[in-house]
Amino acid sequence: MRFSFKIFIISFFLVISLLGVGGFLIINSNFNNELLIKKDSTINSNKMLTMIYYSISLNDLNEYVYEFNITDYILKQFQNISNNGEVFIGEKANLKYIDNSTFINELNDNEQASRIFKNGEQSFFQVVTKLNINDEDIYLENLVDITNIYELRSQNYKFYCLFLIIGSLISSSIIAFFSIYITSPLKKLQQTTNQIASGNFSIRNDDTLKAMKSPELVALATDFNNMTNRVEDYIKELEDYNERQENFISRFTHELKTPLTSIIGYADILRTYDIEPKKRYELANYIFKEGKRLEDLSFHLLNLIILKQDKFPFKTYNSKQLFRELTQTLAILLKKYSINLEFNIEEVNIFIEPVLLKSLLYNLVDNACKASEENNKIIISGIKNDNLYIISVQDFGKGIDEENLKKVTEPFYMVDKSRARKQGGAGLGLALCKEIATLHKSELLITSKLGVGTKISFSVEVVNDK
Amino acid sequence: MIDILIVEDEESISNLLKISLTQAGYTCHTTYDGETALERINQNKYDLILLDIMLPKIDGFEIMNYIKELKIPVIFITAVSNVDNKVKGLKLGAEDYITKPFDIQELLARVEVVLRRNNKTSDKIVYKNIEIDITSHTVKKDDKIVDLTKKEFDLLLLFLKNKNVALYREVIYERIWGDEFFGDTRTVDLHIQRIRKKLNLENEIKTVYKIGYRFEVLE
Repeated sequence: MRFSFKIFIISFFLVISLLGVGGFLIINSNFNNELLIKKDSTINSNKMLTMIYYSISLNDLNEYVYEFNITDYILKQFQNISNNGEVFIGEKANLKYIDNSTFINELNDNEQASRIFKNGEQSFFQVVTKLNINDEDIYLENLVDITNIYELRSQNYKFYCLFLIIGSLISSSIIAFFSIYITSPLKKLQQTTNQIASGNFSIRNDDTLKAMKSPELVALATDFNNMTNRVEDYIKELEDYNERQENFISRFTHELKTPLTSIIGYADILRTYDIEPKKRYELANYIFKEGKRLEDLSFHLLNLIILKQDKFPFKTYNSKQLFRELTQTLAILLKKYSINLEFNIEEVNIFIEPVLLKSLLYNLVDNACKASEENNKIIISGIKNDNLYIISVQDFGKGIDEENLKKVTEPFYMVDKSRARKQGGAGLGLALCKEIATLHKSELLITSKLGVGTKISFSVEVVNDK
Repeated sequence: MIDILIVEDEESISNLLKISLTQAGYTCHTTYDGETALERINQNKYDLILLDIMLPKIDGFEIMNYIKELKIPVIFITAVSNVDNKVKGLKLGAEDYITKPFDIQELLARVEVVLRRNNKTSDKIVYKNIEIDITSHTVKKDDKIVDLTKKEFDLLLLFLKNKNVALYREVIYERIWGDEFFGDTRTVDLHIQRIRKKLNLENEIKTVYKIGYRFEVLE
């Protein structure tokens, strides 16, 4: 059942039942009150009648005014002063109503009894007192027509029923309107949820929901939007991750399959045909170079995997010492490319994993050399900045354009593929550097301009000695 | 002569293709990126294009799109071996799709099939008075059918496709019998003797000392 319908049904029945029961209770108690008042007054007037009759009949006056009919007199007087219906005094047989009812027969002397009875359409209240005067049974009766009280009640009932029907019609339409009005934002929310469930994560609850002015719903909508934002972010992240993974795999297979194809192909030619020695050297050389490429690839890959898994022994290291050791390992490289290395270094104790950090710096300098012309210079600087020691490697080579800059740290990415190949690169160097920098809680910050040069910096922690 | 354009950015692979295809008797031209490939295709007429997908500047799919109207048969060569790419390539109108690492012999066979399908080569090879019909597997000498076993037929074909090259016995065995060679060369020798006799090719099929055989085309 729809929520709005439920609200409608529940509130409708609540209103109707409360009004109905309440109304009938009020009408009934009104009726009872009126009846009680009528009864009381009748009973009282009967008592009064009895008292008057009793006192007169005991009086000796009787004898003097024998001819005078006391009963008639009293009745006359009494009828005048009382509105309580008809009055009767006399023998039992002459009472106004003595149907089969036993209550009169059961009366003792000086006792009063009353009853309500119906005669046709009419209702009556009857009060009877029995007196025994001079061994004679005298009955004093008051009879009141109370039909109008009953009629009033049923009239009230009818009127109230009509009121209920009209009222329920009006209230039901108002309730229906409100229940739809209240649940309409929920319906909107549901539509949005539906859209999201079917994969459209960019949809949001729009301003119409906020226009509902119900703070709970506004809060719900806001929370909902926040939730969707988070979900969308997560999904984007996952998609990005997936895409990176897929890129990695497709590049990796490419990097793996190309040398394999060459090696197998050239070897096949060599073993199939008897070829002249000069040509044979050329083919064998291809096999050798592609084999080297595979070797390089597997080493780098292994490093990448290890970096992602292992914990490394970090220690306090003197920055001067680090760069001194680095210079020694770089010597051959610098000679090969004829590059001058300049240092700009503050001496400070840093917290690093020296082997990895040297490998990171070696890779950066290696890249810088490859991008530089002969006799260019490369500047390595180390500057203390609060708790961080910022190390950067700057070259004045050909630089990287903006589009490539974003991708250089992706595995297997090569800016100049054919050149990188000739220099024996597998496209994993910077990806490796990035991982090492991450281990040192830093990122690689790369700034570059075509034709001007490239600067790559990262930071390590400074050890504060006291 | 059949002209084949090789579009492949990996120098080693490109060279490998060139050597193998030249050996098989085709004329090869190589380019290393998509842009020059398009220039070449516009300027020259090729019978077949071997196209890498991951290319610098313009990728293989784009080139394929561009040259569809030219009706030149294309074989894609790529390291990406997922089905989507394969379907995409074939839908674009490529004749075939070869994934790296590939076997050179397989490549040559596919090239041959594609060329024949496009009527670039006839399914008949004629050498002097000998006529070989590849599809019906028949050999005629002076217009008379000569009975050859399947192995003998394959052997003859191998020699005719590798004219003037010394072939190692072991490799001959592997190509024709399909198993890895394990030391017995007499099978090869016997079959070759029979071919020589049946087709009078004693002068053409030369024994090369310590290596194997060579089919020499006599001028």
